[in-house]
Amino acid sequence: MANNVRLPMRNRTGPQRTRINGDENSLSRHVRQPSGIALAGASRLPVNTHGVKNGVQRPALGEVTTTAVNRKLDVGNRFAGKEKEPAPETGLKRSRSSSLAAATGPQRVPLGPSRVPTAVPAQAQPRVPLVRVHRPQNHVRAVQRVPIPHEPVLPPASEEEEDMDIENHPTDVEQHLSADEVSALLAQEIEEAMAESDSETEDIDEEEIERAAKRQRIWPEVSTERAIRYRREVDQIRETFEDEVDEFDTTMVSEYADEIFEYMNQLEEEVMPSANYMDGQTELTWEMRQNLVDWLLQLHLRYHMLPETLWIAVNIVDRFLTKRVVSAVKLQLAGITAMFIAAKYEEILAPSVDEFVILTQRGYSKEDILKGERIMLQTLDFKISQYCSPYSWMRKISRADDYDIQTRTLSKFLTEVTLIDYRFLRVKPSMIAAIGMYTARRMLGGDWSEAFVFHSGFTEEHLLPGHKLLIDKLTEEEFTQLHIWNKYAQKKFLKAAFYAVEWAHIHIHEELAEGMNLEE
Amino acid sequence: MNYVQLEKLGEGTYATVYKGRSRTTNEIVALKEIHLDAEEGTPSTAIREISLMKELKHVNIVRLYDVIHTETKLILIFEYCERDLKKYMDVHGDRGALDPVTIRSFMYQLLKGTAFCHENRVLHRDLKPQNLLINRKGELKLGDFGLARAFGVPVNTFSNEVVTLWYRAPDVLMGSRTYSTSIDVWSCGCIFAEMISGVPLFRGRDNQDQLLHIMRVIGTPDERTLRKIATEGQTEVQNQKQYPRYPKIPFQQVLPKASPQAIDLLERLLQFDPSKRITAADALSHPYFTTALPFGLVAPPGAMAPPPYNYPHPHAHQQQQIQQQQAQAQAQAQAQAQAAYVQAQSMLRRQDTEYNTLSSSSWTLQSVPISPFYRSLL
Repeated sequence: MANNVRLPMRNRTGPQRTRINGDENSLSRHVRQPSGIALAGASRLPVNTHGVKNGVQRPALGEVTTTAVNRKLDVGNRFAGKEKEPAPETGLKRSRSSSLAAATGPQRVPLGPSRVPTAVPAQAQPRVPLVRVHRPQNHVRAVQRVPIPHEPVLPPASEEEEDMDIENHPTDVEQHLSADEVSALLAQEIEEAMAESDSETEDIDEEEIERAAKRQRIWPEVSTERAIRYRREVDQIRETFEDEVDEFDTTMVSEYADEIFEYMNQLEEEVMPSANYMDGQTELTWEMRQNLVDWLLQLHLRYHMLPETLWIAVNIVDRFLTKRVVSAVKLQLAGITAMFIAAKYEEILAPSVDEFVILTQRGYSKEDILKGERIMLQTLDFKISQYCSPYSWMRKISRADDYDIQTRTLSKFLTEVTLIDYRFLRVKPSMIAAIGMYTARRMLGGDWSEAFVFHSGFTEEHLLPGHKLLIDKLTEEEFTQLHIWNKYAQKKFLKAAFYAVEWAHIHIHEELAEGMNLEE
Repeated sequence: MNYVQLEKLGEGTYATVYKGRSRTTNEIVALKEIHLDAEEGTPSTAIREISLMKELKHVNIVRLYDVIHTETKLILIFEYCERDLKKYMDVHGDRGALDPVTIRSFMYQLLKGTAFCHENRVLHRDLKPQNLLINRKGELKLGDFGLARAFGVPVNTFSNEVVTLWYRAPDVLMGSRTYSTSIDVWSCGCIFAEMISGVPLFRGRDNQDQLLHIMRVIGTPDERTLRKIATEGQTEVQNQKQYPRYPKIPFQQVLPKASPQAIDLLERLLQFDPSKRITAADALSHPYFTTALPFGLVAPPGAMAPPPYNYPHPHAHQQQQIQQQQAQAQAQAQAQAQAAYVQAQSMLRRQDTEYNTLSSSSWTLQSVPISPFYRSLL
């Protein structure tokens, strides 16, 4: 009867649905099972770690929230305690921006040098106050209690714009124009946005973004000479090393593995975001990005999604921010929309849009997310599948130690740390996988043998700079307050976060000292 | 709009397909109109289809030219093909059965397109005659990537609600979610048999019935194979079904018209155990394609050669260059012969003015005249 009836690929079951884990790792199979852990962890976190410290301070995303709240009567009502009464729209925005400036002001100061201190990892000190302001834990609180409004609070040039507060990129405009002939069908607001962006002052930023995007991103930047040497070393090992293939494991697609990896190696550079797109953003900071990613990680865990989904979502956000200027209030919308798209693309059963609305505490409406989806897909030219998360490479490298579960769990944690740290934006997924595995190996006392070089395609020397960045990140003061730490401190992840952070603290000095001569 | 919308070609579950003409080039195209769900926005099938088809550029895969995205709908502009294989078989076949020359050509192109997908880590997951499009030049193209998805290595688990029942692999029928490229290979095998006989090979009513249909022909596999596949499907062990023990029927009996080499290839495509199934890439070098046609058929030499031109393979440029140079020399002679052959074929076809749907689901499988000829053998 139902021979060619297609079953819906996704429906609206919530977090309670049971699914089989996509990862072959037996450990994370538990991730799929509904459990209260994630939720409990999330709600517990602010109390545990920040209850005392941040009474007053507000996180980037959440903060915007509170200031913006009164612009919507219905939203404002929920904040009876904080907001007295809604004033006329424009006036309010103006008056609000002053209070907001107190917090976000510093970041909105002209781009460049002023922000550099935040970007330099080693000088953690000057950044601390700022970081406090953008504390992710606060953000959780915001997610739990504070609805996030969807209207711009910090009106840049485009105060009256009823669109997503996202300015069109010049190149996009061109695209649309050519498509414009096509478009009795094109949505009107796109045309409006086009017209607006023509006249807007954002042009300089956008040019800057574009220029930044064109910059070479191969990392670490090494001399040609050294690059050749790396290549030679790897090739040598590849020639001599012998790998036996398990032909009966169909999931390894051994027949096509070579072609597939070669293809993915080519794809990965196509869909890399710009490593310095923040220079072109007017309101955003890297801290805000970190908060956003950490928040996405939390809800990803909560919905028991496939590991790849998070990576895809973050890649979507980064690529989107590479092309478009987004206001601080819309950043969370961009994040949730990216997660919505990634889940649709990757998951067997994606949560419904309503669930995503609830996740933002109705800070954005369903329409906002659906509109955001359209804008995002257009901006990214529908290129979602082109991004390949480090997971495939990680599993490939994992062959070298016969899929040792400890190493792999630890490396899963470590690769996810790179997701949070913007300094890894310039690193290709295949190398992220190798850095994660390398650091995990090192922490567990193993060496980077020929087998690892063979499967990863990277020599130890090549991975050291990334390894150091990772150690540096792990030893940051606030690191253990992030959700990622919480997630991997769980037993089902072998408490990898505990181990890794402790190890990093003990070994940081020798780690950073080693190979100092490598710095060019 | 840059395209004039012409007649409707078909209607599917989530899309309507129109014939269209480009205002700028006058080229005939297919417009696939997808309505955006007010509830969930862009369907996941559309996100996957568009994204994947932007990657897959190959002569045996329908080209996606453009996407128009508005508030209420999404229009995909595809390369136009006259008909799908199902319709082609109805029109040109002898009660659905095609001649060996055409079968070999179509089969080659089908495997070529499938292998290309797999090399680019894409599973089609819905290969069936209705989704294979044939154009005037006799080129076969895989269409409708609505169920397709990219896979990692190793392959993740997926939904097992994929592939139209009659073309669904036995491991998937048994609940496997760890299937991989072999799932498409099985469908290719079913399509192969269908082109030879004119009717679908296994026509079950539901999952279990489909599995029994398969076992009745290729025989019930041994206990070990069954157990292995069942555990992969994670069917509850205590609940494991006992299957009747059917002996294998030689394909020669089922498909008396097929040549021994065709039978051998079919045998390799339709392996119950997915790990034993031949890959699409390997199947391309099977003797069925590399040796001359049997029965003294007057086939133009080189009729089976891959199309004379090829879109660049997105990777392995260097390798390809070398291969291309070699292949070009070889193919050139063959290509000329093929061109003549193709021309002759398309001349014949031009009489037909009736156009067919692009990847529509409007062709219900039930409409196929059912004559279970091989059942009499059971």
